[in-house]
Amino acid sequence: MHIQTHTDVISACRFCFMCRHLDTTGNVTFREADTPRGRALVLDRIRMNPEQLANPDFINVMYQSTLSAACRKHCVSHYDEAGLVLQARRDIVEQNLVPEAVSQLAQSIQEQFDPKLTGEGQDVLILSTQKDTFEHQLVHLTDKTVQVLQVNDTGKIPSVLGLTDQAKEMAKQIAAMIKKSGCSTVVTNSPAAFDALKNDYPSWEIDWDGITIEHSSTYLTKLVDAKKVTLQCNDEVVYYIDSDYLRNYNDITVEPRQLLEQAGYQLNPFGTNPEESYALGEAAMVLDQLHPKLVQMMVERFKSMMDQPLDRIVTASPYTLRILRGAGIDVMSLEEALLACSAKA
Amino acid sequence: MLLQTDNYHFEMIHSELKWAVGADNVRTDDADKLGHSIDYYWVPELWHDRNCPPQPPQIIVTPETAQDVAKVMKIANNYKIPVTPWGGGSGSQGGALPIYGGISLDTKKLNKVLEIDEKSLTITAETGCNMQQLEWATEKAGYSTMHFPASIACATLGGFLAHRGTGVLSTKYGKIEDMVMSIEMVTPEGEVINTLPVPRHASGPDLTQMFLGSEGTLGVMTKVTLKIHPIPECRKFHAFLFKNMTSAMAAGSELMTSRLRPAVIRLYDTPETAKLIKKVLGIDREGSYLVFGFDGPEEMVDLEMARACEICRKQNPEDLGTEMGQTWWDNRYKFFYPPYMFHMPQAFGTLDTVATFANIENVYWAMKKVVTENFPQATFIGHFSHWYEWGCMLYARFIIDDPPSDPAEATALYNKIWDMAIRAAMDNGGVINEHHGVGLKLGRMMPELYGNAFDILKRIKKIMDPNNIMNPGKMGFGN
Ligand SMILES: Cc1cc2nc3c(=O)[nH]c(=O)nc-3n(C[C@H](O)[C@H](O)[C@H](O)COP(=O)(O)OP(=O)(O)OC[C@H]3O[C@@H](n4cnc5c(N)ncnc54)[C@H](O)[C@@H]3O)c2cc1C
Ligand code: SF4
Repeated sequence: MHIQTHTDVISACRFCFMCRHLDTTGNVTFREADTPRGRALVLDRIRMNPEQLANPDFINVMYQSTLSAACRKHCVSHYDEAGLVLQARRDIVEQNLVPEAVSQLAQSIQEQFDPKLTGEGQDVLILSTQKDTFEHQLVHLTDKTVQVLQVNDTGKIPSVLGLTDQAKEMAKQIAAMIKKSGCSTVVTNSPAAFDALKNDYPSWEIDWDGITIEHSSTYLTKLVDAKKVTLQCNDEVVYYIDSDYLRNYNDITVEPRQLLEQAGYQLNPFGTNPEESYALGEAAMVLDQLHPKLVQMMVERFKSMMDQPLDRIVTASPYTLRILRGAGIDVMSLEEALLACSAKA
Repeated sequence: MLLQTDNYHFEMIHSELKWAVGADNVRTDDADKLGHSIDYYWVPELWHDRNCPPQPPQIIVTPETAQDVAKVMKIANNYKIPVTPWGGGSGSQGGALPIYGGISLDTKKLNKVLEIDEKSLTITAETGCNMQQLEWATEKAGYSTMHFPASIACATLGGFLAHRGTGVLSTKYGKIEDMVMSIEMVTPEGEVINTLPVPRHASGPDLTQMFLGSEGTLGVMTKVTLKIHPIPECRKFHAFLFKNMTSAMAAGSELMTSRLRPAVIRLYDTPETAKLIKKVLGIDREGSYLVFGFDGPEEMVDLEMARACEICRKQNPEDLGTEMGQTWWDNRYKFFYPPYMFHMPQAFGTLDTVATFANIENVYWAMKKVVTENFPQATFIGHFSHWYEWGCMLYARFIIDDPPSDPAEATALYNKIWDMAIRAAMDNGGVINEHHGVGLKLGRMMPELYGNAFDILKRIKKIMDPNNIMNPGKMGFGN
């Protein structure tokens, strides 16, 4: 079983309570099962009694996790509790126990998978997983011609659902197109896509042959540092919400904040603490489709953490943005906040 | 009455509970039940580790208001179903284990911060609040509860009330029972009651203090008003390494009897200094590590700090300076994370005992003797954690690296060590215990500890819980 690759995590977490206050699911369901300890206990039972993997209650717990990795980040020894859940999902898939809703989602991702490369230029390739204006704004700012790779998903969705083979297949195609483009840097404003290319692809033996993978926040930071772009003109108070993929998977916390401050925004800390994930299930990619009620509960918690109902939120995560907008909260993407009033130096 | 889950009677009760508190607040799923079958007590952990069947509740109920709790209690009384309150499950005494099945009443949805009174400096909150979340909310308002237990991230406010818990800064700010103004409680028969609004009065015996420490056997605490404090201007630490524990104890006790007001003192015996302080703080020297800290206005802190250092220097210790004190503070929770914390396959127990300065060292040596002489496979280490004007708490531990693989044999060995060590402590003036509580683990010791006064406690229990449905089998009250 794949969970056997994480027995150190099972052993550490099964009797440990030290990060339960940060489990994004547990903080709204208040279930013992929805904590790293709860899930490790379940998986330890399964490790000892593999037939128990078929228990629908156990399967449900694995798919309710947000994979936010806030607990892993908090943990003194950084036990990979999120990685353990991913392995459990792979086991569920491989034993044909996957819930119907999960297979249908994966299938529709596959059906819509049709990567398209447009534009020209040798330097920067922009990878976009949604229709947005980021690439145009960046082109406008840098005067660069860029190539744009438009794709519905990088393989991240099947990967987090436990369908690793499907994810790898998508990754292979995307990597081949990127390499063929001749670009030297891939920039994406999707934290999930960034994490996929930066971390998942190499773990699936995709070698980038010197191509740099950048999230837009670190890329823009470099442009600002090199004085190629000036950020200016705001004096608004905003609350920046960390993306799980940026903060908890890639340690990118400083750059987005620094950029916002350079653009003149006054940043207020959101909520009561800097450790909790407020990304509403971003790292589970499709939590809103699989467990809409759960995400609704997270939105309610989010609202309860706001200083005022009209607070302006900025997030780097397109997923979080979509959920917050759907809930009627005033929210901008990081790029919207930065590029709307930036100028070429 | 024990519930069978595969019959119509169970379904009747199940649906009655759902009507009472809402379907989303009544759960029977296996994953959650597994979580509720193991708390931080070593024996259920062992049971799980050896793949023995779990002992879960039949139903988990998550009330959202005190009135919900009252409804659950009334239904449970009607059918005489055991109800065991469950907060964070981080108690080490098995107190939250539903050993007779029935209902596990999980308090975590009672999680509202109701009021911060900035005039009186109090906070009113529901008892299912996670302590760290509550502290964060208090800090956001510019104050602190000053309750910093190592389990701050895992335990609920109610769990601390139920166990008379304590935090690192107890020496200055008190244990939880010193912080409480008043409580709201749902009695076993489903009545919602409130204790008097202030803790200092002359209106008869103190009901608040009677319910604190009752570990879910006398009802469910649902709301509490606590004192809160301004964030101190500064907090400073200093550490020394003494030749041995006795000279460190002499310094520590003088620090307290001189009536200085440290926020914290912690003294590690020589073996724990070698084992844990070395592992976590990297101090690799023989001796007994003592750290203390003061907080408040800087001039006062500096003055008290200087006086405290003077007291310590009388014993000629090695001065580790402020940095080694600050490092301890910064790492104070690290000891409790894997792999720093003791863990399976090890068997380990915290022999928490409290005694006066006149007795505390005798308690230490008596426990150590009994453990090491009778159980040569066990290591005994300890530190002195919570200090008062009259004495302190011994946080002794026994550790067995390779306990028997047979769960019954391992449990018997474990219980035997506890019995002998605790009796040795009691024979020398020690009280079990200072903050971990009694629970399932030490219930059998209660009649010995209290003598004939235990009968009074039993009678109170009988009056409040005539059907004995509230956390049966705990605190020595029987089932
Ligand atoms: C890593 C670690 C470190 C620890 N460090 C400390 C420490 O520094 N200081 C300290 O004091 N303790 C410490 N503990 C022990 C534990 O955290 C405390 O005993 C805590 O009070 C338990 O709270 P809980 O919410 O987890 O309660 P649970 O374990 O869920 O329950 C404990 C008992 O309280 C009862 N109970 C819970 N809530 C209520 C309620 N609302 N009304 C009535 N009864 C209730 C339960 O029935 C049970 O008998 C530590 C534990 C761990 C795991
Ligand atoms: S991730 Fe770390 S802190 Fe969280 S349960 Fe596991 S070992 Fe404990």
